[in-house]
Amino acid sequence: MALSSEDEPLIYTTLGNIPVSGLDYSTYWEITDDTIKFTEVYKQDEEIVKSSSHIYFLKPTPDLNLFQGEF
Amino acid sequence: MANSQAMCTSFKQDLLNGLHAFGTSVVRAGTGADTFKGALYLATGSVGAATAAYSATNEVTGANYTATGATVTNATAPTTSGTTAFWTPSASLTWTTVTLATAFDALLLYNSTAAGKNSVAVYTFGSQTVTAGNLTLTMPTNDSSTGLLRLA
Repeated sequence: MALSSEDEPLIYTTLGNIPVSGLDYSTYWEITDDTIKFTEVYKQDEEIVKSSSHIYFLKPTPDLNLFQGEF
Repeated sequence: MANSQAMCTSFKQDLLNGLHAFGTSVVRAGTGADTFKGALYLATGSVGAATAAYSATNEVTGANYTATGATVTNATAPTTSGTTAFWTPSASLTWTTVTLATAFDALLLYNSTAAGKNSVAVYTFGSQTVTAGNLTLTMPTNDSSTGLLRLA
């Protein structure tokens, strides 16, 4: 069944629920030794109206090293 | 097999389980696992090794973010591999449909059961904001080389 214009998917933004098709969508990645970050940004007329980030901890630091003394 | 000087691996696991008390013993609420939480801090903050307890100072604020942060899912007990004891939350930390307009870059993991809300560790991840969206902190593989807490 074909979608009508009234069935256009909406997305929650700072401007309320608006058609996702009217937004500019971009993504970017930031990769460091400790994390991988994926960010999604939705803009309307250059204004950010929605952004999300997903961060994966690769190898968190610091770890705790226990040192044994001697006598 | 000769004797060998070592710090026992089981001791490291016992530390994570709160078994030993070299100082005056703390009074615990029970024998179950404590509740741990993760709170987010502004990039202008100063949480780090000297942070002894949770504080609302410089904690992020914004729509759908509750002060004190989110509860950590803890379904996997500390364990060991080789000579390292480790523990990792068993699920991601997530904030849904939040707006955190002021840049933040740190997570404080702390003991929410302890009366003093004692700190465990601080993790940084680069300054950022979130706008009417989701923030997901996905935990590392729970092993001796990448676990969130590792006593080596």
